[in-house]
Amino acid sequence: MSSTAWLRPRTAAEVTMALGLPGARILAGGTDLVPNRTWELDTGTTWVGIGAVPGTREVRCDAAGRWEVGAAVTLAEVLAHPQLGRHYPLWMEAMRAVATPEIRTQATVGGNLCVDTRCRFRNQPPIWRSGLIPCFKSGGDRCYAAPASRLCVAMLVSDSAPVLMAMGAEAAVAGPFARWIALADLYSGDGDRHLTLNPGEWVRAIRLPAKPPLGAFRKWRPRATMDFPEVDVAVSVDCDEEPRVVRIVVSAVGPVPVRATSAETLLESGPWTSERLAEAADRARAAVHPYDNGQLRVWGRQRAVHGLVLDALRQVASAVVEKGAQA
Amino acid sequence: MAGRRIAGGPGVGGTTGQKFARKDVAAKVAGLVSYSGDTQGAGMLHARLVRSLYPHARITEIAIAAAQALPGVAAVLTARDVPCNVLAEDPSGTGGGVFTQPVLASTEVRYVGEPLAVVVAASPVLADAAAQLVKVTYEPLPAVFDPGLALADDAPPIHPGGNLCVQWHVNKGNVEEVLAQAPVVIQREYATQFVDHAYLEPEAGSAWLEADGVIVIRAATQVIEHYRRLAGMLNLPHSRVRLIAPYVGGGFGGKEDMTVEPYLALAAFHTRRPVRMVWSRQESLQARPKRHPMRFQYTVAASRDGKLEAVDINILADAGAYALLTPRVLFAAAVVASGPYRVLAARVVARAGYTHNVPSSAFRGFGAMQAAVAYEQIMDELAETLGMDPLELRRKNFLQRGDELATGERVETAVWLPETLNAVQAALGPEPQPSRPGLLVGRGYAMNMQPYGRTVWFGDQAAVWMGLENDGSFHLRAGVTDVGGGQAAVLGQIAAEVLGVLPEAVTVHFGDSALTPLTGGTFATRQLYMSGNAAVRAAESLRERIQRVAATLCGGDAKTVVIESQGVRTARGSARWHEVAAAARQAGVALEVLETFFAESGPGYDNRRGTAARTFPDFTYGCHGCDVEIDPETGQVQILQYVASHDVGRAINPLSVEGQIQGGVAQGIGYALTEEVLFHEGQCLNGTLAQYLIPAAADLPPIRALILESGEGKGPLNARGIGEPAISPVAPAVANAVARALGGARVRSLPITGEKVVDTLFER
Ligand SMILES: Cc1cc2nc3c(=O)[nH]c(=O)nc-3n(C[C@H](O)[C@H](O)[C@H](O)COP(=O)(O)OP(=O)(O)OC[C@H]3O[C@@H](n4cnc5c(N)ncnc54)[C@H](O)[C@@H]3O)c2cc1C
Ligand code: SF4
Repeated sequence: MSSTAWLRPRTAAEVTMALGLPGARILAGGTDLVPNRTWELDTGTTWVGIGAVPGTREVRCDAAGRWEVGAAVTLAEVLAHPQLGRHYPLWMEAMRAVATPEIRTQATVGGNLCVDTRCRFRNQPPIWRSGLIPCFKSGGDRCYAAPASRLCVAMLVSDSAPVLMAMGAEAAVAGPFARWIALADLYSGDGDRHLTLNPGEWVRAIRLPAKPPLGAFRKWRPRATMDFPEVDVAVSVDCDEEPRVVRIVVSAVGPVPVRATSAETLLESGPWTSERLAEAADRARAAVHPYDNGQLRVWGRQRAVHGLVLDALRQVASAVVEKGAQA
Repeated sequence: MAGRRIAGGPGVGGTTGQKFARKDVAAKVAGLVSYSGDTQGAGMLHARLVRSLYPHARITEIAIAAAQALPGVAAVLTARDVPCNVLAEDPSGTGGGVFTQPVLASTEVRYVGEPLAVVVAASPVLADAAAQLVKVTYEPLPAVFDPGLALADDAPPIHPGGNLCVQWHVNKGNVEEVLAQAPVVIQREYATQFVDHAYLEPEAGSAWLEADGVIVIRAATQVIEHYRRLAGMLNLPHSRVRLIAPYVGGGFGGKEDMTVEPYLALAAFHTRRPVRMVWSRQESLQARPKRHPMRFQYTVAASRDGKLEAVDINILADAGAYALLTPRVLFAAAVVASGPYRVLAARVVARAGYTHNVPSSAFRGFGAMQAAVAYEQIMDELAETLGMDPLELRRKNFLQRGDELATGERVETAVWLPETLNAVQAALGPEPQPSRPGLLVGRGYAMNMQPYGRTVWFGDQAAVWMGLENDGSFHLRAGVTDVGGGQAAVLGQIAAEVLGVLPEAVTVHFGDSALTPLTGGTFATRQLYMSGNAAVRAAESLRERIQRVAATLCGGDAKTVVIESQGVRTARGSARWHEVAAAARQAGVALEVLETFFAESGPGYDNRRGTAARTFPDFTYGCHGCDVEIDPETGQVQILQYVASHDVGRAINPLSVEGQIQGGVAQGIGYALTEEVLFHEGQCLNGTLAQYLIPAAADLPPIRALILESGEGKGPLNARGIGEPAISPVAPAVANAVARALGGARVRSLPITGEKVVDTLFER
């Protein structure tokens, strides 16, 4: 068994340099990377910690009222923060839905966004996989979950990704060309190399809007805790704009969170009657096509999208009414 | 609700009937207990198994040279290195058949994961690496994975004797005749799945060779009596093998057959060095015996007013590749197949077929549990057909003391079915209401009867040794294995009760085949019954000796001697413990005793006629009820509340009884809703605990345990076994609640996943 080097650079530039070493990976909380190493799914030989880089463990609010959270801040710290919960209840809901309390004390904000994609045909013990001809993600030439696909369709299981997308959050990419990107632009659409980050690039922080939209989050999983999502739904609406800005994001059905644009369009204008909400939920369901790589079956997951979206929309609708009544 | 009716215990007070936390519980919570895998030592070697990758194949070669050549590898052992490579057993005990299994397969493999070689190396990592260097050449052979197909004429033979592992018959009256004339007949099929014991502690242990040549194996096992089989395997006298079981981190039947023991014994035998072996969760899920999947065909006849007239039952189980305890499991299923109800006529045929799946064997509930899935669902379905309340139907047919079971034996002890049902009904309260519009709710019940103790023809026995120190503390030695249920601690409590001292005064030494008297393994809910009764006898006989000595010392009648913490007292005087000890020495009375309890024994089962004078010593009865809520969009079932009641005869430590019930219900909920080891052509598809879904704390409803005490059990102080009975009614209670919520649509196969619920709703 090969040994692994663990580097802890002190500056962003050094992190970028370290990521240039062969087989280099960021080791944040390690709650995804270490199990993957155990299962021989990740064969990285250099682990690069980012927690020593100034700012990566900080939570701060800029002059415009936008909160910026460092990538190495843990999920438990986010949940315990005195201000964040009040400003971003939707994000908190997603954070609380991740894994278990033990894992959340270790897992980080950056790690949760970059967490590796999963698939029933790959996230298995080595002995299990040894019986299969390798698929795309294992360096092979086929996909068992979607035989007609020319790309790996392993699922993005991050619970925070759909919520942050629905909230309009951004990510700070560090590297030779440091920049802010919309969260949706972090994901490539290929389950094998699921991030759009270039070699040497990494996520330094995320930034949340000063005035977050109203929203709702639903996570469907076999058990009430611990399990990865089989379907995630995040819905948001900003009524201060005209027309309204509606975001309906369905995740854990493929390598990227999916925007149900046709459903969004329907709800941008006009009343939110229960018929129209149901119509939107139907459109959302039609917009996603889960693959056969989850714990539960394809059609059950697709069907569940309808109920989850409808449920989330109802919650947002009543929040809008409540807010309107108060305003 | 039925009142507490407690038979007076033989002792003069103590803690019986009071809740208290056992000593071992605190130590376990604090992480102070040394489990089987915890032994580490300098120079210790580590063993790994090389397992079959194919469900059925001829082995043409096992090349071990490359593995042997790896530096740090101490040994690579194959079938050739096993002095006697057959484990033989007559599991039914009726002479019905002797089944054999190789320790290490050499020419043919019959399931994925079957052990082929043991690699012993200086570290676990090296052992892994060496195991990968063992090159096995397979010639795949046709395989069969369905017991029904395995029993067809053209199926590939799995064992020379054919693919029928066992077939039991139970017959009462003329079923054909009753069925032909019965006004109402319904027919249903139910199916259960493979599930895993999923205990916290994996299969683990270590072994070493003592200077005197005795091989010692310290392993997580439910049965230290396996030392004899290990000696047989090594061709050694029985006295040269010693098996020690420290506290076991959960057994549930999964450590009833041997797991790591033979491989550890072999490795220590060959290397003459200490060896450790721990199985991974994946090995455990893939290759260790599972609960038998069973298919049930029930035909039930009743009168229009709901009197059961006849049952005609076919049970087919998947035995997997080797028999193990299949014959016994199937027997339990056959005996209780008609449930705790009176029937005029019954015909049960229970068969198990070999397949190329992983073997099935013992699992808490032991066949009787699978039967409850069928008999309690069909009671609800029959009630629906009759347009009757399902509880009224049950009440009309409840078994009573004096009734004859389908096997022809008579029920001798109290049958508190109405009492447990009343208790559960009262505790559940008003019918459930959906927490939001659109959700479906339902309430379901299930009764059960579960045997405890081994079938009477085994002539079961257990021995306990007790002795007094001159400071007034007591030793109790018993070869019980403690799988977490407090099997050791309860013996101390029973002895203390009989002696009239505090439980702290008795220290229990347990689980050592060389140093503690043998009690038989911890299975079949027999341990309390067997070694508990032996402990009563040992304590009684020691008390009697102490009283005799005390009476001569202090004067007065021996019967009136009172035992206290400092010493003894009579009406005429008192003496301190060291004085009692001295007096005993002088009088030549040993203050130590060995007592053996022999279970009620009887003739074997007449399988041709399908009857017996007696099968099991006794049964435990109970009732469970629960409320469920279902989201019709996802089909997901949530249990809102759960109530379980059993007549335990007498609750010696109600906290332990409650613990057994809580644990049984939790495990049963997994069985009902989420757990299934999925195999595809023998290959386990969900080999991690991320995929094999045992319920988490957040999934469990509040569980209330209602303990009733009829004072009539065959265990010590009139207790009945509760380890297994607590798990059996869970799945049918949940299934009945789900069917209620779905308006009568029923998922007839376990587990009741969201997907099956939605499918069932759609079919309607
Ligand atoms: C039992 C269990 C249950 C789980 N359940 C859930 C769940 O329900 N929902 C869920 O979302 N996740 C779940 N996870 C996955 C994981 O725990 C979380 O996603 C967690 O947030 C990952 O964070 P981490 O800091 O531990 O990441 P790490 O394991 O350290 O890293 C994960 C990946 O991201 C990369 N990475 C980390 N930080 C950065 C960065 N700043 N820039 C670029 N790349 C980076 C790493 O190189 C690695 O490839 C579960 C894990 C386990 C073991
Ligand atoms: S989605 Fe396809 S390519 Fe990707 S891991 Fe699964 S089977 Fe392999």
